[in-house]
Amino acid sequence: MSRLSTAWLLPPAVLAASTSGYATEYLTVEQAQQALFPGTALTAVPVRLTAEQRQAIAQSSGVRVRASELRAWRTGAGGWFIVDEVLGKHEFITFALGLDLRGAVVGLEILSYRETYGGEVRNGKWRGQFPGKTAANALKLDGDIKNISGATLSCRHITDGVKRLLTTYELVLKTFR
Amino acid sequence: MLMKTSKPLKRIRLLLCATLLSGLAAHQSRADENYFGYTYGAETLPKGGSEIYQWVTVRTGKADGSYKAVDLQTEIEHGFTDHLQGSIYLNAIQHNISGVSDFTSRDQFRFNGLQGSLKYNLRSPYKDGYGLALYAEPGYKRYSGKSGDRQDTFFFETKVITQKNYLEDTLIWATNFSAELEREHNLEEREWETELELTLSTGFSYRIAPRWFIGAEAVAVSAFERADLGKLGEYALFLGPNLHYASKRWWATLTALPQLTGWPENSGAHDLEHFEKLEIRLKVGLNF
Repeated sequence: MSRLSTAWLLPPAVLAASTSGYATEYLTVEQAQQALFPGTALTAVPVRLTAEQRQAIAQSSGVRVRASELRAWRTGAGGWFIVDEVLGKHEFITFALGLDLRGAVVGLEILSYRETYGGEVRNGKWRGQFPGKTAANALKLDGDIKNISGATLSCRHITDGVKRLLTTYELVLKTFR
Repeated sequence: MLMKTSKPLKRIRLLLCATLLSGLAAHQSRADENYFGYTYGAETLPKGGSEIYQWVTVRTGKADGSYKAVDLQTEIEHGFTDHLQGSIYLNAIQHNISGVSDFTSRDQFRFNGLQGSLKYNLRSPYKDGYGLALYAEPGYKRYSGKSGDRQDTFFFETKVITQKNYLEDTLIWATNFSAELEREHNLEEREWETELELTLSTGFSYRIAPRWFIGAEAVAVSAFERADLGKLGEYALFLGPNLHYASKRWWATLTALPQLTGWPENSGAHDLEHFEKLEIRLKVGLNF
């Protein structure tokens, strides 16, 4: 290979050498718990979904269930705090969902977001569309949940993730003992 | 007789390298990436987003002798709205040709013109079920990409881009249909020629792990003399693998396309007069 074409391989080499971790953690689990249930004591509750439950949740919500372990906590009043992940364009987006004792959304918090574009999903105005939603709502992008142009993939996957967890409440957590 | 790279062109080369390297040094975030080397996806940059790309395409292999061409494109892209983006490209080309029948032996590096493009996104693969975009690219080249001969070429390329995502957007399938009208002025023979090139390309890319995608891509090219669909001049079919990596600041895509078949054949089932045995393309992008 000539000297010239070798020189043009230099930029990619510099790029490769410049890689480093880029995880952006916005909230810890404890901070998210306090944001959604301020001043409330939460108790970790191990929830393991059976294959049948995963299938039922996927069929009902239309969203694939990736994990069988649910990272869940319970409030004394019967509410739930769940930490979950959805696919971003390249990495996972970690979020927390608070549910009241009726299974309605109390709030949504983004714990970590690692993508270049689409960080607008952290904005309170967008997340503010979710409180009050239950499994009975459609939770459809450009339907009852407005999209953010330029952040469509993140909006879609987070909305789907919330829909999956609301269905999980309806089919599993609602009667969980 | 081998031709030397001129000093002004060396300066241009160094300038382009310096521009890109300075962008890298600034540690900017990742660009809106291409999953494929040749096939475009239907997404556009968000409004206000900008990116710089570097393309390096190596083409090698003729029926005889030694042939290598390297196409270099530096592209700057900007999102004017969430659905419309524009680009400007600066091109350079290197030829190392020795002992190839009907080709002048040469070793040269030349600035090879520029082009602009507009891409308009009509449907999003993330919320509309499929992606659809239209693309237009007028441009000018100073040298023949095949022979390295001095010739002026004005071209206008249009594309229809479709994209369908599966498995929670981890499997991406994109297809492009392109029509390119070229008007070539051969400065030695002092004549103008018109050619129509139709290209169908398709590829899939699957996310095998966070940040990593692998897939395959196929490109079929047909060229028609005097833009007459009844006068097929040549065609070739390429098929090969691609690898894509994306970080937050940058991404890279590597595609290797060997020629599967071509016409008119001059080496087995291949057309190695108008095309090459193998094309390898590396794209690197970052946004700012």
